[in-house]
Amino acid sequence: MEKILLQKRVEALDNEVFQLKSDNNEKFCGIYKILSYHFPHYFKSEKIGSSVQSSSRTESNNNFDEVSKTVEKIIDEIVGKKETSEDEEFPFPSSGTGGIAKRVHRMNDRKRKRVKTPFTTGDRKKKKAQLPTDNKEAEILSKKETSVTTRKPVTRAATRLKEKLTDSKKASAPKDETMKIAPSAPPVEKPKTAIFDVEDSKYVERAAKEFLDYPGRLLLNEEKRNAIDNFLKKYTKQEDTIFAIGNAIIFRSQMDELLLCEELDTNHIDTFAYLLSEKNKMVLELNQPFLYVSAFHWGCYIQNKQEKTTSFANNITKDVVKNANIMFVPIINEKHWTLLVANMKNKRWDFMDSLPKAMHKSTTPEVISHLYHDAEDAFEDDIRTWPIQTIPNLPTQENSVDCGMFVYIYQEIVDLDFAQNLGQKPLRFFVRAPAPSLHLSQLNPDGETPPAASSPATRGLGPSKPYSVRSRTDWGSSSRENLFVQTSRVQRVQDRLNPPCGLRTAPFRGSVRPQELIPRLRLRSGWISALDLCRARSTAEMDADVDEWETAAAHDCGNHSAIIRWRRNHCATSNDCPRFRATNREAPRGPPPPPPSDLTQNKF
Amino acid sequence: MASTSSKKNKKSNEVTILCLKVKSQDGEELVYRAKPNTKLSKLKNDYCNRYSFPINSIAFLFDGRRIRDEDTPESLKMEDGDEIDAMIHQTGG
Repeated sequence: MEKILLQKRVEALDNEVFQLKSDNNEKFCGIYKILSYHFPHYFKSEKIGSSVQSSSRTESNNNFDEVSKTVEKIIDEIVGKKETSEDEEFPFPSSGTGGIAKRVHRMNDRKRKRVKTPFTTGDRKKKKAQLPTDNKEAEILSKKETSVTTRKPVTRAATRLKEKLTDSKKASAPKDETMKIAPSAPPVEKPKTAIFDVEDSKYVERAAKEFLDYPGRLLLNEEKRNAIDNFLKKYTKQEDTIFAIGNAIIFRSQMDELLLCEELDTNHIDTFAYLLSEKNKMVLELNQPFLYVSAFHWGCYIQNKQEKTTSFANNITKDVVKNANIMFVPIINEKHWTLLVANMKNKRWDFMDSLPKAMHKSTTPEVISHLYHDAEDAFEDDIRTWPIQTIPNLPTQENSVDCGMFVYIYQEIVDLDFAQNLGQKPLRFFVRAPAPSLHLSQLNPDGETPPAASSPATRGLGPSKPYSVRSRTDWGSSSRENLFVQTSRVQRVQDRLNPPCGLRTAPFRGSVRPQELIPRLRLRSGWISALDLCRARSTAEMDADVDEWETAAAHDCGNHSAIIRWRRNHCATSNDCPRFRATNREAPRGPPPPPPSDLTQNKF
Repeated sequence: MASTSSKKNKKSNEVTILCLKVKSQDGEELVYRAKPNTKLSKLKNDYCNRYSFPINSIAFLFDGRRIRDEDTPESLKMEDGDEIDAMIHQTGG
């Protein structure tokens, strides 16, 4: 304790000593006396303790030198201790009148630079060499060399000490680090990717609503409404799997999306395509084997930007491509569904967009080239060179969520159209029927009558009415231009075609205003697919499904009403067989059994 | 068959435990340790829970095949270090 106190006092006196020393020797001697009086411990012990090493110094007659040395030593000790304790730069004793000391220090530095001679530099090198061996000697040497001021050697010695200390620290620090790192090297690499055990997984399931007041619920008949309601009650968790085919899984939440007219995802689109192929099998003559490229093929590619999507296009093989008439490629791009249809017979791509915009078409070349790449040598022609044409006058959506549903509707329409034309004629349906609203408006109020019979009546209605009501002319300039094209075309078509044997896309009876039809078109498809899904699990419930499909188809394709009538009769006789099993095919006047539908090995 | 037994198994023979990477579309990776006969629904659940996704909004794909709930690493012939892609369903409207 005493020592510390003393040191602090010495420190406080330090500055004054230097000032006095440079100014006046007499005063300094006085202070020396005072110091020696007050701290006899230092002055005496120095003489005794350092007698061995600095014997030459003690012998010197100069009293002043001796004093300065002792003071230096005292300061050195203090400074040295400070350095060891703190890593900061050497703190000048600048407290109080420290300004001058600082200045002196700097001046000295400058002088040293000026005085640089080979001799001195050589000396310094020697000192440096000696430093590590013996610190005390170096101190003494430095004192010897610069006798002008006593301040400098102190600092230099101190800095050296500091350097030494830091050096030793540096030397020791890396060792410590390496020691630490070496054993724990593998954990250091891994923390980027934490490892979890599968065993301790947790997931909180979310409950689903038991009752959904989906749009158009009251429009359904009681039986269907009950079917859907019961279904919703049955699956109470959002995570309940309802239907799974290929890569697509329909959860309860997806069902809610479908019923509540929300946006549809890849699961829906794939499932719809599967259901379409199933429906095709039910109506024999309409069995139109189509190829379907899963929505995952493009969706996965665009999301992950990986080339690992070949497995999604597994179903596209050489044999299948040879026999297929059409191929559907649903595209999702920037949250919008569009449909690309490959017309295999005419070697052409048809692009269908429910929200006509040139932007949406821009991705098609990439989609096609990607498909061509992944299908490898399935295509004989280079499908990339086929022309891509946008089909005009499609039924379009009137909100922002229906495009997925419309992609399905297009598939249905194209599929039926091809079934009618058997791939002979080019796809003409959309030319004949610019918009479903038109056709619907032309329908007789009681939709029961076949279109052929009602054709004179429709002609009487004239095309002007529907167009005047048509409110979707503001989809851009193209649709406005189309308006005129359509009117003239409709007149031409109606004069020429008798009966208009296109698709009727509305199974609604009674007078329906055209602008209501598009949402209903969507609703209808939504219901049917929802019903399909509700019942897809149990084949026993398939009867009503078939009925639904038949009624839809009866309105959709007037030409095939006979087949459907036959189908209905047939089903009535074979009670529990809605699906045309091989045993029930001995129909009296039915069409020949369908070709083995190996073509529809669609992968969903 | 509780967790205790599985821990013992891990200690005794670690060769049978597979490390499966689950890669999101941003390139983030999570590594899961799974036994060859554990159902991958657990992995799916945990992943969705960790990122607070509803499980029905993500498709887990392995080699272009969607992983079903009842699938196990054994049934899918997974090997150590295999990657599973977690793909968020794209919705469109």
